[in-house]
Amino acid sequence: MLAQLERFRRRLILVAFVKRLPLSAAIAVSGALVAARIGGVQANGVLIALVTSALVASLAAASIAYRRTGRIVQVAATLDGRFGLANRLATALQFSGDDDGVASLISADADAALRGRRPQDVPFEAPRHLAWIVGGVAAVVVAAGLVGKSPADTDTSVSSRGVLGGAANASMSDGRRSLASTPAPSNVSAAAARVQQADPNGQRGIAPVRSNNAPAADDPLSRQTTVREAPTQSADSAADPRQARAADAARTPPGSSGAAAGRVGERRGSAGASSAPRSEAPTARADLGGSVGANALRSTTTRAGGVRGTTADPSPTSDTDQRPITNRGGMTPAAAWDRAESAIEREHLPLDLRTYVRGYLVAIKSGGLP
Amino acid sequence: MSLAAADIQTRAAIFRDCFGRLKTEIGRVFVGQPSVVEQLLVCFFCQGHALLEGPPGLGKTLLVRTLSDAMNLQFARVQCTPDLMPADITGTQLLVEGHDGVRSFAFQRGPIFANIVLADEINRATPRTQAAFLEAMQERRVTVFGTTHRIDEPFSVFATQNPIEMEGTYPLPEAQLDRFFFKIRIQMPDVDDLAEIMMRTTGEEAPRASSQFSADTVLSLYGLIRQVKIADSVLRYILHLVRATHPDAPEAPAIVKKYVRYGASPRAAQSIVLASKATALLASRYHVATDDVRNVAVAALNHRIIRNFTAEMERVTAEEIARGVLSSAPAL
Repeated sequence: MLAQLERFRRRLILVAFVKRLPLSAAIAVSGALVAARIGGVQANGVLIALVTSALVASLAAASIAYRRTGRIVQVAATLDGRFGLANRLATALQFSGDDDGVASLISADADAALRGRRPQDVPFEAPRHLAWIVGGVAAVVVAAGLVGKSPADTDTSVSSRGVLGGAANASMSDGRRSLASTPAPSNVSAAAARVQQADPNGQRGIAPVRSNNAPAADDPLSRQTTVREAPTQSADSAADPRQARAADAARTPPGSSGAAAGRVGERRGSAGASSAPRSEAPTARADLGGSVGANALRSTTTRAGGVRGTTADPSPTSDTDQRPITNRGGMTPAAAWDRAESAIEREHLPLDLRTYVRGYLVAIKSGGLP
Repeated sequence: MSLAAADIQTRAAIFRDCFGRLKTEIGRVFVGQPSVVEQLLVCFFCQGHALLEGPPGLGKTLLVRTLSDAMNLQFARVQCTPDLMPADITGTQLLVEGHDGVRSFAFQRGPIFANIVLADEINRATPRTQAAFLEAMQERRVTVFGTTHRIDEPFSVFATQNPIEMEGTYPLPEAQLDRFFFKIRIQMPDVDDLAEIMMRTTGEEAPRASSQFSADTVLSLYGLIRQVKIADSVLRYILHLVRATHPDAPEAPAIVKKYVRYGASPRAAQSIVLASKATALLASRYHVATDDVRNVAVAALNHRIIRNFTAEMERVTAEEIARGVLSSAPAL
């Protein structure tokens, strides 16, 4: 009887595994999706997370199946219930070591009851709440899709870390600007490594932006630390005479690989100090109070507190970027002022830096900008 | 005592045959309600005592008398009244004169020394008299004037009580109720059974059960029932049921928490185990199954569940509570 029970044990573990796998997989995959969404993981990362979660779910289901049905006593009890054997197997198993007439009768009875039954007689079962499981996973997938694409996946949204604003994502798509509270990646250099350069056809590409004392663009190290994104709107500042000051302040070598440094300030902000080479820091501090480390960043702060950037190349890249700064995508200087104020509050800037920035804002305001 | 498998099979066959013939023989006199007859026989073969509850005229006394007739056992009937004294049950010392003219005290055995004792309307006896049954039922012996007298086996007390007429009665205390193996409710027969009863009892000759077995046969079957095995899982199922009758136990269902003041004692579990073993033997098994437990649990639990005031006000019976416990217990 023990040999027969052993065969049934393997079958029962398999059945239990198949029964529990959907729920485990649903929980793991949903968790992975949510975690990937919260963490802003790239597409490859999401794929890896899904595969890993599926593996974890399989292991968990197998572990649970083994623990719930793995013991031979449990197997006997389960078979008693499934085949309607009236506790024959469980009793026979328990008293199999007894050497009396009743125990031998019970054992013979159990053998007879189990004879003719095969492990295949134990059918696979669907989970009790399969519909709910499938529905739940579908809901999580849909919700993950509705919340929005991750910053790494979207080529039109830019992780922004302005001098005043700190962590914020400024979506630049369609010429409109919107703020999202999604935190920017901690490794700003890596996250902003890919920049998009406006080409004459309106396509976006990648172009390095070099600081004054930065190495050449073909230097891999410098490319990693200084490459910035140049959105389509980057050239619009050239149309605004007030932005010429910012462009001058930026002192970005014109025509440096045709790069546009326009939005760098609002995307990078104070984080630039950490990403820039240490040797550049004094230059940046001279202008920005230590908040940026590259000229491209410094040029931003000469504009409206990092809200607006400037470009190294003042020439427009597209017609749509020729709009005035006072009303571009609904962002008025007053709104920019408010935004900078709220960013100061939100980011808990150090007191000296906050004073500096406030003074800077007041100076701009008194200059008639807002 | 360990017996060979063949011997056990033979005795089990005798038990089933004996049980079936008794059931048939009782059925010749007592019409209908086969489950009541089965419960009574299971109780008897488990050396238990039963409390038969039902309105007057449903054949409670007839059922017990028929059982003793069918088994050729000594039968005694005690009609309990408020003036019934303990000595009327246990017996007493009488002054007797010997052949040589010498007078001395001799113990005169009471009706409790019969094999089957029918205590009719036991709740009409005073608590003092009811207590006289206690030692006999539990210890199977009687102590009179400092002398202990053993009661011969087989011995079972079958008491009856009327659940309707409560005036002038002394409800049995919980301690005494607990000593009854089963409480068997006798229901009103349906029309067909009533018609059969009329036919049998209003004719020229009333049917009588014929003797089938001797006391020795019964005694030999007692040990067989106790040899039936019970698995741990089934035993724990029984204990779960018993614990679930206690309102403060974590296993207690809502109906128990709401309506029960005190639950069943370990004697209830003993009764369920023994009765389940007998039921298993009747089903040609040598081990207890959960179905056996379910078949006997209500009869073993319902008189051991002490209801609270809410249950009495809402007329929730102990049997309903016991069924609620059964239905809420997890299946094995």
